[in-house]
Amino acid sequence: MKPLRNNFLILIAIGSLMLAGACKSGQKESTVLIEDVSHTTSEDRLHSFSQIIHLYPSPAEMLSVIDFTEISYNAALLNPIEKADQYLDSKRQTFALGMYLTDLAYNALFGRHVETLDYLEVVKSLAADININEAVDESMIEQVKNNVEFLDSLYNISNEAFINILSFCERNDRSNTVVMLSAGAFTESLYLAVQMIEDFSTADHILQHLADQKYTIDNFMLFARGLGSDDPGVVSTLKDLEEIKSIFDGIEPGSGDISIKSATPEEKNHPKKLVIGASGAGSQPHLSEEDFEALRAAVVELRNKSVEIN
Amino acid sequence: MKLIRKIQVVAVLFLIIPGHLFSQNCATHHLDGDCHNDVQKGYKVYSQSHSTQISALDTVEMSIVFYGQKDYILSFCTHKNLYPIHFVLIDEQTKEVLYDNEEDKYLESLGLGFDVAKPMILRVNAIARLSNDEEINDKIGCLGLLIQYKNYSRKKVQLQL
Repeated sequence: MKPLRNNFLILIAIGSLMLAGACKSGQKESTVLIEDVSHTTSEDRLHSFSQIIHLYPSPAEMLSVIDFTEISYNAALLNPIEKADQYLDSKRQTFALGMYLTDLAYNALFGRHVETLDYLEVVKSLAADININEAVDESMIEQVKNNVEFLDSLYNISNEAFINILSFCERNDRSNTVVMLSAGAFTESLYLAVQMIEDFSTADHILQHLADQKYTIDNFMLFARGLGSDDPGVVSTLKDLEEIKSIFDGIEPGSGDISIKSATPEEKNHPKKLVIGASGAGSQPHLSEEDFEALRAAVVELRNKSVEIN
Repeated sequence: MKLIRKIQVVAVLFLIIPGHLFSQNCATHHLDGDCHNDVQKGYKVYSQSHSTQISALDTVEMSIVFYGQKDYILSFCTHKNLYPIHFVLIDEQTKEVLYDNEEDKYLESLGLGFDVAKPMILRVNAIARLSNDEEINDKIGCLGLLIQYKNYSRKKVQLQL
C-alpha cells in the first residue's frame, strides 16, 4: 500500500503544479500571460521605458508592388537552386537563404508552381543547415503542393516562410541571423527590380518603387546597427551594404509633405479610415538616371559577389 | 519502483524549470491575441505586424514602411488590465502628428489608405485604466500590432492617376 500512496501523493503534487500553471495562464480571456517582473524592483519600474522598433517589409511585399502583368518571367535572373549546398559557412548560407526567399517570392508572384516548390525545398534545406528548421516545415511544402491553381496562396505561403523565420529568430534570440538573412533578401529584391528596368525613360513605376526602398534600407540599417553586434558575419554584411546605403542617402528625399483626409462616405466603414496622399510630385524620393545607374552597378556587384562559389 | 522513479523525475523537473519557460512569448501576440478578432476577409497580414512586451509605464515606438496604393488596417491588442491602448500616428519625415486615437476614445483599429509610400512612426502606450498603482508598477504584458493590407482597386488607382 505504501508505494501506491506515494504514487498518489506525487501525482497530486504534479497535478497541482500543472493546474497552477493553467490557472495563471487563464487570467484573461485570451492566451496572454501577464508576467510579474519579480527581478525588477518597484523603484526600477518607476522609470518609464522607451523602446524604438524599426521594421521593414518582406521580399514578397517588396516585389509585389511591381506590376508583373507587363513583365516576362525570367528564370535566368534567379540564383540556381543547384548552388544552395555549395555555400559552406553560416554567413553565406544565411545570406543565401535570404536571397532564395526572394526568389521564392518571385516564382510565387508569377504563379510558377513547380519552381515555387523547388525554391521552397531549398529554403527548407538551408533553414535546416543554419538550425532554424522549425520555421519552415514539411506542412508548408504540402500547402504548396495542394494549392496548384491559387496564385494568392503561393504568394501567402512564400510570405509566411519569411515571417515564420523572422518570428522564430526573434523567439530564439537569433538577431544576427535576421540581419544576414534580411540583407540577402533585400539585395536580391533590389537585384530583380533593377534587372527589370530596360529603359529608364519608360520605367516610372519601378523607378519610384526603387526610390521608395530608401525607407526600407533606412529602417533595416537602423535595426541592424542598433544591435551593436560584433559578429563577423553581421559586420561584413553591413559593410557590404554601405555603398548601396550611401546611394540611397544621396537621392532626392522629397519634401515628405502629405495630405490627409478622412475616407469618403462610400469608403467609410468599420474601422475609421484616413487616406494619406502626396501633396505634389516633389513629396516623394526621386531617382535620377545617374543615381539609378550607380545603384544598379552597386547592387549587381554585391549580388554577383554573394552568389559566386569560392 | 521504476514507475515511481519516473514520476519523481517528472515532478523534480516541474519544480526546477523556471516558471517563465511556461509563460507565453510575445513574438506572435498579434496573431494569437485579441487582434485576431479584427482579421478581415480580402486582406493579407503585413510582415511588419509586430508584438513586444509593454507595461503601463512604457512607450513603444514602431517605425513602419507603408507602401503606396494600398489600404491598411491597424489593430492593437494587449492584456485586459492594460487597456485602453493609446497610439499616435506620426509622419516620420516631418514629425507631424497625423492622428491620435485619444480623440476617438482610444479606438483599437484604424484604417489607413496610402496613395504613396511613406515611413510612419506609431507611438504606443498602455493606459491601464483598470490597474491599481501596484499593478502599474509591477506588471508587464504583450502588446500586439496586427497590420493587414490589400491593394487599391484598379478603379481607385485610375481615379488617382
